[in-house]
Amino acid sequence: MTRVRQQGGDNWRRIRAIAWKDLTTERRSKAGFNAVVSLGITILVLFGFALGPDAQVLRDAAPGALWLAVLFAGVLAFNRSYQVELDTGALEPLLLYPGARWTIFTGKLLANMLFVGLLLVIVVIAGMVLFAVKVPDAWPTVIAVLALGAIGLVTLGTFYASMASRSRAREVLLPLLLFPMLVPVLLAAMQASKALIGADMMLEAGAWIKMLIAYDIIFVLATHLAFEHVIEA
Amino acid sequence: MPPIAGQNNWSFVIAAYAITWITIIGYWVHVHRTLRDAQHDLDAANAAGAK
Amino acid sequence: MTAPASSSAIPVPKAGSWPLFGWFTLAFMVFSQWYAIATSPADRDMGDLQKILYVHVPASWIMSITFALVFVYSLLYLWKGKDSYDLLAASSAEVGATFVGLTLVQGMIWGKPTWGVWWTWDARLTSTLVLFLVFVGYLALRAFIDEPQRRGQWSAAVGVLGSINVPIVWMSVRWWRTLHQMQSTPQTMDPTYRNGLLINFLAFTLLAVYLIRRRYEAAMIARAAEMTSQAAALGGH
Repeated sequence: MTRVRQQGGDNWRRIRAIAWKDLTTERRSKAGFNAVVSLGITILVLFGFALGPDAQVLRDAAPGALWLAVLFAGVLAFNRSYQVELDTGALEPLLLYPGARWTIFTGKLLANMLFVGLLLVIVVIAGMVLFAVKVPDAWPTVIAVLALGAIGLVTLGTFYASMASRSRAREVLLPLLLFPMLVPVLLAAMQASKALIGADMMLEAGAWIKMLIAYDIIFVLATHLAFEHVIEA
Repeated sequence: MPPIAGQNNWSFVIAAYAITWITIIGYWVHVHRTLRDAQHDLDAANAAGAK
Repeated sequence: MTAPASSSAIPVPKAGSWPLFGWFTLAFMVFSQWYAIATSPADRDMGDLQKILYVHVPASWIMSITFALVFVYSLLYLWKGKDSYDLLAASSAEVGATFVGLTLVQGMIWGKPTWGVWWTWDARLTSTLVLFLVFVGYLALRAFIDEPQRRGQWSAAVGVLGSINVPIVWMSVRWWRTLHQMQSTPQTMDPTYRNGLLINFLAFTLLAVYLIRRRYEAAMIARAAEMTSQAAALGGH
């Protein structure tokens, strides 16, 4: 019993150390985060041009534009999260430390979660201003949808980046692998956000939120199980 | 939905069957070419190893 | 090196009587399509277009089989680590991608006269397209990695996750929009249609088995050739 608790404590310490290391690197060079956020906002502006100046059209398209902006900006963040280890050759020593491999993944997941979460907050605020979206009455539910969507996005993004960033042509490989996998998350998050902004007459949001939860649970488990095979190869 | 019954749609049927056979034959040829090349490589490697 | 034939570290699968099986399969396909077209009268609602279903529905069936095969062989590879499982998964994926592409084009040819457009964002069409992209991603990943061990592990992980995603994609797209006609089960169909469809299911299944087997054979031989020449380069006698 005490050994189990001891091991749990070790794992938790390891997860925290990895997450902390990634966030510290990110904080020391703010340029990366600033660039990713600027890209997200630029994409929003471009969507504004593409969809025309009509305010109603813009408001209807806002959830989709927001999620795509976060998706495109997020892809850069995921590849970056392994970049430091690859550049300095620190991945092999990291694997030599004793302990479960999945803790490395969980640590990176938490760091990316915070990174993308912050990105999401800024892009959402910018999007609400640019696309003239009023704060909906059900704003706590909207925040929950954003969080659930972000979990799905970051889980698969971090997982696929662990492969794509170590291969040739990583710029094209990560989106090629990631985007088709994320179709359910994007559909669910967009539709739920849209329903909630438009007062959710049909009570659609509930079904989509359940699907997001199921998706997140399935893929958080599956990626943790598969990570050991991926990181050692 | 446009009415279909009684209409002549044979061109679409022929197109569908044509694309099916082009795909099947095309992939068939691809598989056999891959097979032949691989066999050729293996023979060459064995010959080089035997030397 | 005295016995070059036995020097390859992995056993090379033999062609055996598979070439014969292949030619038989092709002949059988011609026969089954001829049989289906000849025996079926024009459909009450769909007219002659109904004849496209004899190749469209079996092609989409092959798509489901190959997805299941990729899932099973990827899991087996992650579990046992045998090269042959990796190459079987890859062969299934390549055959699968071919048939998914074929299914999509056939569906578009069927959709143009039926719906008046080449493409509609209908649930089954859209989810099939997404699945096609998943297959393409899997094959692209394999093409970009040279080292066999790493390629095997990574593509197995991608294969398993992609297969898990299939039902989720299907459900989410169906919720998003649906106007496709409900799947007709063989029991509710006219017996002449049913026989034509069943015999074509059999023909396509045989074809898929044959193509996967030969593709796998080619991949194993290529792997053996690689290992033999590597062994020679590393200073075989």
